[in-house]
Amino acid sequence: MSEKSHLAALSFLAKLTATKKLTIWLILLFTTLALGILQWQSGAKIQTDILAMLPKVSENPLTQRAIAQVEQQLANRFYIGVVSADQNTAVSAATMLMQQLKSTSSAVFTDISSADISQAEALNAFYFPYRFNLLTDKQQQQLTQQQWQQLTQASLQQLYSAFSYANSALISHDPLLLYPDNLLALAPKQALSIDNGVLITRLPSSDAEAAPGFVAIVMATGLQSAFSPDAQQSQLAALELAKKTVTSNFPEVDFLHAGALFHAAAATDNAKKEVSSIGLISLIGVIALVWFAFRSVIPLMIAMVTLSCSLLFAVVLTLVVFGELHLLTLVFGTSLIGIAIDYCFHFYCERLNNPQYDANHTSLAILPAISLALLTSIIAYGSLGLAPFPGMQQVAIFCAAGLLGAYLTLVFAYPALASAKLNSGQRQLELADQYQGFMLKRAVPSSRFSAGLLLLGCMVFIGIGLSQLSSDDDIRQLQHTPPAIQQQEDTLRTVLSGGTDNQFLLIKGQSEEDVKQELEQIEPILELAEQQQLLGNHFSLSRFLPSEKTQATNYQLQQQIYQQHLGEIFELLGIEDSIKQPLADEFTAAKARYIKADNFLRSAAGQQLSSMWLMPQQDSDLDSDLDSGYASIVLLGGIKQLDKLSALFQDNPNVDLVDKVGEISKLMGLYRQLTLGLLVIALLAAVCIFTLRFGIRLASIMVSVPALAAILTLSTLGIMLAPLTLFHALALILVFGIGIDYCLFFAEADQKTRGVMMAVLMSAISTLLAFGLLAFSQTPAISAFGLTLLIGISFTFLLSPFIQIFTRKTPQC
Amino acid sequence: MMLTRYPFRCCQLISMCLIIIGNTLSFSAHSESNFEALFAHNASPSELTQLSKQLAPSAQAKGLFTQYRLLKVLKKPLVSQGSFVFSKQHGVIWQQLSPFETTLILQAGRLTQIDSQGQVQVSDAQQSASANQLSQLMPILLNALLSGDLPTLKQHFELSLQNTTSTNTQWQLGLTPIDPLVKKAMPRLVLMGEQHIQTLILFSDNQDRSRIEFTAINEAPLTELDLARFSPAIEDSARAAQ
Repeated sequence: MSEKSHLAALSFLAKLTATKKLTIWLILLFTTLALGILQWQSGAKIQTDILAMLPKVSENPLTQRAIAQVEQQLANRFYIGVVSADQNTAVSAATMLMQQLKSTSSAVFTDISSADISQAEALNAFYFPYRFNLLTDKQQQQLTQQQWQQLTQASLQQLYSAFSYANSALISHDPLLLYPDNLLALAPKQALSIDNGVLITRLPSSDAEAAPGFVAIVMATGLQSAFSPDAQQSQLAALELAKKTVTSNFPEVDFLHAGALFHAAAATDNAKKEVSSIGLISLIGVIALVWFAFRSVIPLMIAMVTLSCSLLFAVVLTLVVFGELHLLTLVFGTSLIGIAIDYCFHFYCERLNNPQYDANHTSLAILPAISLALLTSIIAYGSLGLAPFPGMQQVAIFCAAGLLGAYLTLVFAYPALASAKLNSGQRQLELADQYQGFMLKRAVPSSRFSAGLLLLGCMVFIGIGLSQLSSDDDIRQLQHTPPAIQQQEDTLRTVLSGGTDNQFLLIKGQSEEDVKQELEQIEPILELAEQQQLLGNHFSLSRFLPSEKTQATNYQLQQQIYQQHLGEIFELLGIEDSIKQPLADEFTAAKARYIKADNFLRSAAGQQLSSMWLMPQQDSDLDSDLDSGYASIVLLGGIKQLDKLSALFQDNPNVDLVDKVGEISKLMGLYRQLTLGLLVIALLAAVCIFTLRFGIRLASIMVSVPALAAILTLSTLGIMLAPLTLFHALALILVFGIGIDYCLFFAEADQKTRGVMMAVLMSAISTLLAFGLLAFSQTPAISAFGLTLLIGISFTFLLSPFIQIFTRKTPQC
Repeated sequence: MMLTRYPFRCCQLISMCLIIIGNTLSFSAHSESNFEALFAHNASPSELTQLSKQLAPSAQAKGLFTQYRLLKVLKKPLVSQGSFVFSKQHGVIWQQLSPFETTLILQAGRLTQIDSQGQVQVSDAQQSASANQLSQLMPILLNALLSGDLPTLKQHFELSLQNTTSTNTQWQLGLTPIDPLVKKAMPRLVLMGEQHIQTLILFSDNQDRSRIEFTAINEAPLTELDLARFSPAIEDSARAAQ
């Protein structure tokens, strides 16, 4: 801002009367309010999905579709373990739970199931006609070695056993009983048994506290996203109701939960609690502070008006820009109270210091300082918003808009609203003055020796601190899961033999056959990886969708049975001859009738798996070369060594290891560095802006205060062994923004700093109240943010009064 | 999407059951009508008490069996003979001696098969859901069937009873499995006997039927030699443990 235009704005504002200003403010206020109501009615919402805050990883369209499909498939599914000491009770309770979920809440859940017998039947119905194309590895080997006689012998032995699955129906279609093993191969290995249609197993015995018992598994899928607060509420309510009915009939059963729903609910709960508790305590603290300082109701009212207006601007502008408000933004945003109130403090301290002026005059007097403060703050927040990181953009817009709201209130509403006379505040001003005097006299080293010692101490502190500083960019720290929920999930995970990780393999190809063959080729690699403990489990469509090449080979091998030796086989097994010709005909008719992905995934059997297959998109005129092929997803679970696993497929251009969490974490690291870089740029920009008004010497001294505070904060974090994250870096930007304000107020006030000192003192206390409390948040990211601000603001507060030493010696410009 | 791992693989729980396979292509409805009267008569508690008094279940037994498998699509019945051992503690050995030798050893959670070439095949309950399903239930059921353990049978079957009068000690017990999966594999069973169980008939939906006749039942404690016959499985489990 140049001196000239600044003066022009000042004179324009000076001409306006207090009433006119108030009118302008009211118009602004109501426009914003109307805009906010409009936004709310057009479907603005509070977002709780943590991932919505994260940067978009720039993947190619195919990978993006794969990620979306995997998320859609898995995110809304949840699992309930019904625990009881008695197996029958567990089974009956689980059956009742399923009935309850189905009957009371058909609009909330879908796919409520336990042991899915109908799914097994559907698979059987689908694959039976294709049995001539199917062989297990062992069967393939036996037929390659022409061992049809051994297979016949084995079949005969099965026929003799009264307890085997061989029966007339099966023999007449599959005399060598090859098909059952193929169907079995589709079933994943699991240690669960089925009792009356309910999956049941023993609870893992490692649970020392719990009595040994049984756990029956019930699964369901929420119809809407678990991250939508409304859906979350209705799903949880329906679930609670169903569980209540079950416990009233089976009082001794216990429940285990697993699924995104419970994580999301805990996160929502936590954030809500923190917004209300931290927000409330911070608000009460600020009110107490204002009361203590001004002993009057009016400043308190004005402070409330400022904060409300600030929040209104913040919420509405964020909604206008983003269409939604993230819950984490609100949590960060509660700290806005701490900054917006600064303007109010500054105004009142100035009035206290110069009681002879009216409110209009005071607001004009502090306008330059406040304007510069707003400008630098917006620059600081703007640099936050530069990062392509939706969450931080929201925080930036939210805080910048909030400050603008507070600023406009000060400029336009204060002259009319805050014109009431103040009680004398000499005592408080004296107190602030004494503090500053003490700092300037006692804390400034009196001799060269002690100055050197202080410098050396600082250097050592900074040296040790910075050398200890490490970083951690894992995005999982964004999410805090209460141990109780994690424990239940871990137990269920053990029971259901592992889980699926966020990482998955994407197998790509130009045709369906390419993908199928590639799937078959990587299968042994993955099996080996499981043996080598790199991986816990994997799930691939390979068995469900054998390549046409394999199917053709299998058909050819079975010609031995159905075309060359059928008579002999029938003779050996003693099967009625009338069945022979129809069976041979059936075999001939099945030639070149292959299992196709399309058919399978549309069948009742394959629907569940359709999210693991990607067809080329119909409207692929955009990005056509990137999104035109076929692909299949291989889910991975229990990954132990991700780098070794990814190395297995590094040289294969058709296989990608998609690791969204890893990618985002990497991006977080990048933004952490970027943010620290932006901080340096913001510091330099501030020097340039301040040079115009204060000259280069004072400007660099003013900027050196927040710069030194930032370095000291980083050192303290290093000594505390807190690994640096993006959130620490972001907090440093805020520390800079606030620190610059303090320095500006001091520099603008020149020598009459009593009012400023009091304002800064109050501002620091209120900011510490707000941010210091954030440090106690359960969510590590918010806690990191709060802790950094706590340390940073403390240093800034301690350092800022020394500006006066330099303003004394500097001639005003 | 959550940032933690997903709980489970999405189609983890496609439970597969061998026993359903044959039934989806059954020829015709169940047409065995010999025992309609039996299954029409549910067993009353007092009748069952009387029967259990008569049976006096033993913890172990061994004996001989002759089995007639009548499969509709086969030209003639498959007749086999052999011996069996059962023990509440160890499980069941079902050894066929003619027309060729095979052995089935059913133990809790494990199914051991020795074929005519002497090849041993062990399916562990942990390995597959289906083998698990059968091998967990079969020892219990066979044990209960062979020993006439009515309380255990009652847990798994609906029971019906006929011909237990004071003058006639011959009885027939009709069993209908409660678990739908087991019911698909064996819709109906009939157990006949006097002091001991004499005959077991297994019906399936497609007009197949197995009739097993028991003879020379000995309820004396098992000898070392008998116990040793469980050992192929025990050796294998030791190997698996290593």
